[in-house]
Amino acid sequence: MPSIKLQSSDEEIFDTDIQIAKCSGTIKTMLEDCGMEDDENAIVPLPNVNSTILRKVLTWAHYHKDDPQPTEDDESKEKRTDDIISWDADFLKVDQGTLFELILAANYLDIKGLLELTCKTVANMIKGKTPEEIRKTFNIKKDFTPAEEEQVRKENEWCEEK
Amino acid sequence: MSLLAYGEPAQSSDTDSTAAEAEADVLVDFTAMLQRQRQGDCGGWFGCDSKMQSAQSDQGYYLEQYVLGVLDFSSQYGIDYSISYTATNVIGRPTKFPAYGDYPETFPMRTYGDWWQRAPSATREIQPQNLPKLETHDYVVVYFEEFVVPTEVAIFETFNPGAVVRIWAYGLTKHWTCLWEATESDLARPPLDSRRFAPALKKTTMVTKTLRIDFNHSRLNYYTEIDAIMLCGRTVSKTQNLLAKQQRTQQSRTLLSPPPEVKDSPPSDGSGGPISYKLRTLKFQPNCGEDGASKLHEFINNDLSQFLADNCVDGGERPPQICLTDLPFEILLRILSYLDLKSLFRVGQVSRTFYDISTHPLLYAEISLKSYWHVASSELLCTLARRATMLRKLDLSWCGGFGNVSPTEFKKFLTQRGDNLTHLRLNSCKFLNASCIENVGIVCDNLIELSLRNCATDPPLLNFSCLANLKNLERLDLFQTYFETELLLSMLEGNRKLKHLNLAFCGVSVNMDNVAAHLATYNTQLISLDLWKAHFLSARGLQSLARLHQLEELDLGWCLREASLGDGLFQLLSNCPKLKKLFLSAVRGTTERDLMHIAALGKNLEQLDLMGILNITHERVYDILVHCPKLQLLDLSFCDNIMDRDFDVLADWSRQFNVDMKSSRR
Repeated sequence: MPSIKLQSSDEEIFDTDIQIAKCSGTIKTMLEDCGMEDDENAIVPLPNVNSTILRKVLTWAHYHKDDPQPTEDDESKEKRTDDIISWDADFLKVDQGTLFELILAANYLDIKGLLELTCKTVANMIKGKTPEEIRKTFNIKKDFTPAEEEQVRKENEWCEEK
Repeated sequence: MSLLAYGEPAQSSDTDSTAAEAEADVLVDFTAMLQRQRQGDCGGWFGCDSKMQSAQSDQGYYLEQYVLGVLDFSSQYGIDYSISYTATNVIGRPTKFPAYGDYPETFPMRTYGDWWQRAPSATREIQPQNLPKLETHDYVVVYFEEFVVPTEVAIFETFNPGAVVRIWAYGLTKHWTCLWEATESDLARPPLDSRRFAPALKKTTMVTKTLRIDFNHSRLNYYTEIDAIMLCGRTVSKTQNLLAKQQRTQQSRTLLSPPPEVKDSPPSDGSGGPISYKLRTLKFQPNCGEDGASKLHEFINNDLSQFLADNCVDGGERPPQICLTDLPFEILLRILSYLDLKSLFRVGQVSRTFYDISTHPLLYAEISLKSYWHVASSELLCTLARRATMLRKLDLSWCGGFGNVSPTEFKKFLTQRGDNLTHLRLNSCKFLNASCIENVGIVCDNLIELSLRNCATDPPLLNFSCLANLKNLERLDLFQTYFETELLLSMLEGNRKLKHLNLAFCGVSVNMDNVAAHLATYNTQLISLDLWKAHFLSARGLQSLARLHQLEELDLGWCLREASLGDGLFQLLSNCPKLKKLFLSAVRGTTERDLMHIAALGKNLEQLDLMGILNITHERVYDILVHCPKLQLLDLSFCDNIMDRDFDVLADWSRQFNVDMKSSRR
């Protein structure tokens, strides 16, 4: 199996199976556009991803390497967040900082499946919580003026538990 | 369907207005009520008498009552001018329980399993993230004679039990409360026997005489049948008294919380362990509000470690971490796109940034209030109209009962946001009037899908030629809705791209042969057609339908009441090779020859319903199984020529050919 070398922002080299690396749209395009596919010694620099995160990304990509490509029919499924498999759930038992960095990496590397998974995980952390609980979970400050707050509260009256 | 809107049921029958008077009075005619209850007693099966207690002046008494009337339902197997298999069969005490079987005296709905989702006519949910884990496929709203504080709701299931997923009660405060909700484990297939299903209800002080039962059919092997519904609870002699008491209870509860002994924690005297020390050094001041103690408790249990990690309390060795708010706008937008509407509104209450993101029009391209039918209101529509400037798909099904959505507000919404709509679903919408429908026709001229299921009224609502303005429809669903033939014909003529048409249970005034002829002339792209119980289709109409070469799904259940179909079925099968689903339930004119044609020509058939066809023998069944390799579902219920002794053979074939075969008997 041919492999390529990925270099993280802190200059660690990851010898990676080319098929696994190609789950990233960004790497795939780089390889194809620069004709690096046949060059065993080529190094792909990834200045936006540090080694800790890149290692996690590659672990994820390795586990999901045989996933089928999403089809049009999945459009409706995509919006559901209760379909996270247990391996993925365990994989994402990380602190918030790591989770957000994984999101940024998935976004930069253009890995649709991982971006979807991580965003869904954050969505699940928001779902069903009260505004105060959300603020607490993500350490967010309330910065409404009293008038604004009243306006938003009115708009939200329908979703208060009765 | 007798009532368009949920009026006060008091006006709908004599007995009920008596009840309404009784309610207004301080004194209830207890003796008369007891007598009524005795008459309604089902042979001592449920021990009504033993549970009856003598009246106590301010506490009321325990009462068990059966359904007095049906206010609404989403679907029923039978047609509303029949007495068989209709929703009104849940009225009164059980008639079949504890017997188990397929009885016309009960209430089954229109579907079971996932066959409908696997058919070519299946649709995609709008804003699917709003759906609860166990979504509702069907519901029935029933009312009882007396207001009670509910302690038990019993549902008498006499065939394929296990579809009930939620029980709602409508209170005097004009709000719906969910008294019980099923979990996955509740739906694990119960034994195929009749049962009196009475799950443990949420403790409540609400007063109700109106219930809504939600059904999910996905685990069912065949139609579920409901014989009766019982509401038990303590009556209230003075409604007003109780209301006041309820308010007092609520007040006292607010006063009690937070518990006084923890109200002052964390202590500010400098004592306490390392954690409280850390918290103090961080100037930790949680927003305590009313129930500060429980919130603090929750915080310590769930979020403290996160909080400490975020603030580098554990030694401060980590590099500063990024926060949710550090993510770029488009990623936050993506995260919010996975939220259900309620959570989306709530996240908007967090901060200004989140308000701005949560009100972004891209998050409101699809709106469905179906799962929020109980809280949907004119005010909500008004708010959504401001946000949904890019609205494409709207589902307001089940909304607007009890006057929560006004027709005026709906029309205002449509005028503002309707012109770009491609999908509009208004199934069982109680606020719809003729002028609303007219507005749809005028404003929503880009509609690809229009669904007006279960808007049955007499005179028909759909008598406005404005709907004929619509020219781009690919799907029109008028299930259980009356319409005028002329309107439908002009709509068919105008919408040449029509692919899916549902006219099940359409009124008796519709001449189906004319409709079929129109379809054959103008709508040759048609993929699915549901004519279930559209009685006035004859063999002549069937000949026309045979010209729809693209057909993949055809439901002719209970149509074609003639003795012979001529060669109509043969024509259909030869001309429509793509047919995947063919329902011929109770099409009694189906001959042995027709069945041979099915075997010979139905190469692509996946679902075949031959329920109630008398000419079918087990030889013909074998023939079909051998020649239709894609077959997955074969309904042979009430096919009386298949003898009981053949059943073992059928079961073997079912395994051998991997076909789900139904053979229900009375």
